[in-house]
Parts: sequence; C-alpha cells; structure tokens
Amino acid sequence: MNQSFPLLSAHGVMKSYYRGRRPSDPAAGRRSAPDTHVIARAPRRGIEVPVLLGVDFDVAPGEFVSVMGTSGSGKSTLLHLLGTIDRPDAGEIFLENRRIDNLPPRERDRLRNGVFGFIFQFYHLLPELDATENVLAPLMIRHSAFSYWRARRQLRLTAEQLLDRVGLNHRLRHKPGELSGGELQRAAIARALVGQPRVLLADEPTGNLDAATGQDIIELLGNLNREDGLTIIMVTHDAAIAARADRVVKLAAGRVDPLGGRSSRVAG
Amino acid sequence: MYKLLLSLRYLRTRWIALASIISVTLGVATLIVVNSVMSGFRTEMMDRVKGVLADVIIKGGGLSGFPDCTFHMRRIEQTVGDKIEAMTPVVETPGLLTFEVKGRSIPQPVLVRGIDMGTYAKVGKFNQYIHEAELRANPSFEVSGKLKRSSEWWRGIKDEEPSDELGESMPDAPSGETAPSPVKLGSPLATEQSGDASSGSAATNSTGDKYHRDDPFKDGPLAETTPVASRDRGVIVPWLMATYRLDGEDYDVIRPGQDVLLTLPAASVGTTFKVEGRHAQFTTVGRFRSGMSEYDSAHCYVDIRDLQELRGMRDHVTAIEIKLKNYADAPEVIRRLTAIFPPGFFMVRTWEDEQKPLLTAVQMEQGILNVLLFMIIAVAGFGILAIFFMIVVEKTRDIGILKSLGASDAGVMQIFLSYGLSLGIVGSGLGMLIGLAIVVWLDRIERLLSWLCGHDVFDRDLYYFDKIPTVISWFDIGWIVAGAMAIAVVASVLPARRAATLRPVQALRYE
Repeated sequence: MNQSFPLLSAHGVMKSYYRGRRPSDPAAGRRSAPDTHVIARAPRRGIEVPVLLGVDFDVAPGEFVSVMGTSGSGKSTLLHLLGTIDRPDAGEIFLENRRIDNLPPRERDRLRNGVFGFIFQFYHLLPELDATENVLAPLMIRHSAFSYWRARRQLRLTAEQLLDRVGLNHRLRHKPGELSGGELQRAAIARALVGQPRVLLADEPTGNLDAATGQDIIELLGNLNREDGLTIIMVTHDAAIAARADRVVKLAAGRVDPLGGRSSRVAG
Repeated sequence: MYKLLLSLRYLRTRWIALASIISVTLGVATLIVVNSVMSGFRTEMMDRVKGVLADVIIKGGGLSGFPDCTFHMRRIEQTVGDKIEAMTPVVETPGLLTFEVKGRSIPQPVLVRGIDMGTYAKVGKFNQYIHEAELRANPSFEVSGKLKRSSEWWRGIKDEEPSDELGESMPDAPSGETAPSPVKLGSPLATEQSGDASSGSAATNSTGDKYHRDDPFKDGPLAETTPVASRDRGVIVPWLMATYRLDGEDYDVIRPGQDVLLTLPAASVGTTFKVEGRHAQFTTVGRFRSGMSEYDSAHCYVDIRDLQELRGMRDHVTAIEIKLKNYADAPEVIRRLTAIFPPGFFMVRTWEDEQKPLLTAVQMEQGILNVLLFMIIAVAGFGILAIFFMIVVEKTRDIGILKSLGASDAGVMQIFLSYGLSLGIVGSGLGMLIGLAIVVWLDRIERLLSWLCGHDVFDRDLYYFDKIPTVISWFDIGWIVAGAMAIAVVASVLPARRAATLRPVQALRYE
C-alpha cells in the first residue's frame, strides 16, 4: 500500500466561492441571484468566500482515505477539485505525473468518465432511467451510439453483474423512485464502478442513510477497496464512518490539519 | 447514445411539452388544408380560363379586324409550325343581345365571338362548355329539326306547338313566378296555368289568341335592316343570361329554339366616322357554360362567316387563336411571332397575359396567407422556448449528474436539441396527417359544418363547383413540415445552450 508514487495529489490548491449580485442588478434590496455561480462564464462579482486556502493532499494507489471536517470546511470542494468537476483558483492537481486541472474540457470529460467514479450523498440517479440504464449511463457516454449499439449485450451484462455484486440483482428494472435509500446508493456505486475507474470519490455516501444501512454501504466500500484494490477518497463528517478508512485527513480553516488523524486500521 | 435515450425518454414522460406543439400541429394542418384548397381553386379556375381562351392569341385591327387571315395563318405555320397543335380564326366584337321575357324585350350587352366551329373546338375546351348534351355531341350552328320548328313557332310562322323535347329537362318556374317559357298545351295544367303564366303579359297575338305569339321583330323598323334575314342562323348564348337560379334550381330565360336579336357594330366607319349598328335575328341553338362567371354572363358564340357577313368584314378577322403542343414553349413562340406580327398593330399574348390581373391577385393572396399562417407556427416556437426553459431548469440537477459522469457540454446541448427536433417531428407529422385527412374528406366535413351552422358553408351556387377543388402538392407539404421542424429546433437552441453552460458542481447542488 505504501508506494512512493502517489496516484492523485493536490498541491497548494485554493478555491473561493462568490456570493453576491449579478452585474446587471441594481444596488440594494435584491436577494443574491443563485445563477451567478451556476452559469459558467458569468462575470463574478460580490462577496468572496474563500473555502480552500492552500491544500496539499496525496493519495496512494489502493488507499482508502477519509476526509473529515466541519460543515463548510471545503471537504466536498476538495473532492470536486480532485475529480475535475471543478477547477481550482490556484494550485495544481496531478494524476500520477500528469497535471489534470488545466486540461481542455474534452480531456477532463474523458477523465471523469474513465478514471474517476463519483457517488454522492443524495445518490443522484437519473429518474427517467431504470437501475440498469443508470448504471450503463457512463458507458453510454463513453461510446458513440453505433459502437454502443454493437456492444450493447456485453455492456448490459457487465452492468447486471455489477448490480449483482452490490446486491441489487432483484432490482434491475426498477426506477429510482421505486428503490430505497440503501438500494439507491448501491446502484450509484455500481454506476461509479462500471467504467472501471481508478479512483472512487465518495461525497458523504452515508449522509442520507440510517445507521444500519450506512454500515452496509461502508462495508461494501471496504470490500471493494480490499478485494479490487480500488482507491477510495471518502468525505464524511461522521467520525465513526471515517474511522473505517485506512487514513483520515482533517480539513480545518481551509487547510489540511497537520495534526491529522490516524485510523485504527493503520498500524504504523 | 445517452443523448438519444434521454431525449426519447423525455418525449415519452413529459406530456406538458406536447401542449407546446399543439400549435405546431394546428399550424401545419391549417397550412396544408389552406394551400390545398387555394391551389385547387386556382388550378380549376386557370383550367377553365385556359379552356375558354387559347394558349396564344394574336389580336389586331380593333373592331375592323385585319385581312388575309389565311395568309397570316400560313406565316404562323412557317415560323412556329412545329410547336402548334391547332389554330383558328376568330372575330370578336361587343354587341347587344335582345331577348323576350314575358312580352318585354330585354337588351343585354354581350361579347359576340364569331368562331369556326370545326377548328375552334381543337384550340380550347369549347365543346365541353356547351350545356346541351345533344349539341355537345354534334356541335354546329345549324338550325334544323326541332330547333327550326321551335324557332318558327316563336316567330308565329307555324301553328304547331313546340314539343317539350328541347333543351335539358329543366323545371318550369313554380307557378306564380315569372314563367317565360311557353306554356305546354294539352297538358292537364294548361287550363289552370293559362290564367297565370302568360296572362299579365302583353304576349297575346294580334288575333287575340293567347298561345301564339307574333314575331316580335316582324313589324317595325328593324325588319328591313337585316340584309340576310332569310337563313336561320344559330347562336350559343351565355348561360348566366339564359337562366336564373332560385334556391338551387335553374330556370330558363332563353331556351334553345328561341329567337333573339343581335345588335352589332359595323366593321367600317365609313366617311362619317360613326359606327353604325347592324341588327340580325338569330336562333338559340345552345348555351355556353364554362364555370367562369365572367365568361358565362357575356360570351355569345356565332358562326364566324355570319358575323363577317353581317358586319361587312369580308374576310377580316380580329384574332387568330393558337393551341400549343407544349405550353412551356409559349415564351419562345411569343417571341418569334412578335417578330413577324409587329406590335402596334398586332398584339401577341398568352391567356395568362390576358388574365394577368386576376392571376396575380390570386397568387398574392395565397402568398400572404402562407406567411400569416406560418406565424402560427412561429408563435408555437415561443411556446416551445418557454417550456424548454422550464424543463432545463427542472433538469438542472440531472445535467450536473451527466457532466459528473463525463458528458460534454456539447453532448448535453444535443440532448435538448434532439428533444426539440423530436417534438417537431411529432408535431408536424401529426399536423400533416390531420391536414391530409381534412383535405381528403373535405366535402364530408363541409356538409357536417353546414348542417351544424344551419346554412351553406360552401355556396355551390356562388362557386360553380360541385365539390370543393383541392390539389395536394407534396412539394408544398414538404416545405411546410420542414419549416415547422426547423422552428422547433431553433426554439430549443437557447434552452439547450443554457443546459450546456451549467456548471456541474452548482447544478448538482440545485434544489
């Protein structure tokens, strides 16, 4: 597990959010328009809220890392930056030796599709598609319509096998509206894995689940890490959940807490 | 692949979006129906006009006409003979037709066309426009047999009653109405009706006999002015002058066999520069009914030689009418003929040139209507725009998910563009089906509407058609459908662009 070469690393990463008015709005009395930060390329004006103030972070291949911190500490932000969903205001992100934060959008799309897998607190499955189709979504994105159609049987088999692996083989045709929280998260995990990613990025995976179901999920993640050697970076505010990882990293005041934390699993 | 799947899924699950394309459907259907009907009317009308006129018409010489018609026809033959199917000489002059109704003489202005029956029929559709079936089969201006007997009865020469075998089986006007046709003798109604029908009128004989009439032209100054009075001359009178319509039924005013007087301007002005009038008696042999009210109320046909003789024209004609083998040759033919028939004295035109104002007006009407109706679809575009914006906002989170899975901005945009296109296809396809269905079943629909409204929606008396004429042009339909789909796609561009530019992180957080 301890390899000299980190799989994923962040150096001096800084990120701020802007809460404020859109440029066209006149001065007082208007509520802040949420659109400002939703639409890309919108000129950002308003109050700067710095979230990350220079974060250095490494993950070794096959590691299972927890990132902990209070609400608003920027842990989700870090995760997003690592997975190229967002771009840092300053600093760099490296995948092995390659800098990935400044790649052209097409490249980053490909990374997100092929290298990273995401799971979220609110599952974020597409409501119009059933479980299998949801799991197949990354593959549909990856392949052109024609090549997907040609390989569709094989791909479908892969998806169904994964769903079986996460314990959902009785729910293949169900829509998200018909699944429980735990089942939804399992389906999301299957979706995150179908593209054979190298890193799984989990944002509060148990945040919306009851204690028992949460345990199931974390156990599933642990198995995946152990059996498949899947690198997992998990964000959570729950110390007990965080402790299940190999290493715990604490975020405070926009930086990695140098004191850190050690999980009970790592011996030395 | 995900784009296709998602856009089709959205199509299936979002019924509200279908509300936005109702306008597209209605617009497409309306455009198809209106275009078909207007094209139908236009084609029908042009067909009739062309049938009455000819492909190419060479006019000259005003009322006096131009001489050497045979020579000119040979010249035409030499110049464009290969393109010509048939040719015929025509003498056309305005005149007055005087006929008798209930003892009164009614003069009406007509356009008298002297034709050569043998060749004239080859140039247009003249034979088809003769109302009387018998005459249609053997067209001629000869007055013989029944017609002659009827004419002589009219003139009081013979005592025999005219049989009722003349003309079409037209109902007599209901009693109490003006019944200008002669009363049938020997029929059971004769004794009752005899009191009404021809009473009140001054149509009694000088001998007091109610049933025989004097020749209205026997006495008086007119009797001696006709140089050729002895031969029976046939005339085909205009339908709208010879009949009137009441509650959907046609009643006779002038019947075949009935004599009329034609008053014509003489061809030469002489030394006094005054145009003299010439009068002559003609026997109606038939009635001219083309379906175009402009012609049916004024065109009156006689034999060209009679006309020439009466007007003192010798062999002058006022026009040569030509039918082409292929109408597309018309510009070329006109060009060549104008070279040998110099303008100033002659005028070489096509039937379209003759009717240019009418045709241009109809075309413009159709054009404007098309623009207006397309606005309906354009308005639908705004509906699509609004609903799509709503859908994009609703789907903000899903767009974030897709982007986190690696979908590109362009890909997300394509989802919504294809959604727009599929809505357009559904809308215009449905509109096309509805429009075509309406066109095919138009007459039944019209009857249903008339029944619902309580009065005639499509007045057959006014429009001269038995059924509403329609022409389905696949070319037009293609453009309409393509335009509607284009509007649907264009309307979805702005919302699609917004979807494309959403930032994943904040989109994911969107509540």
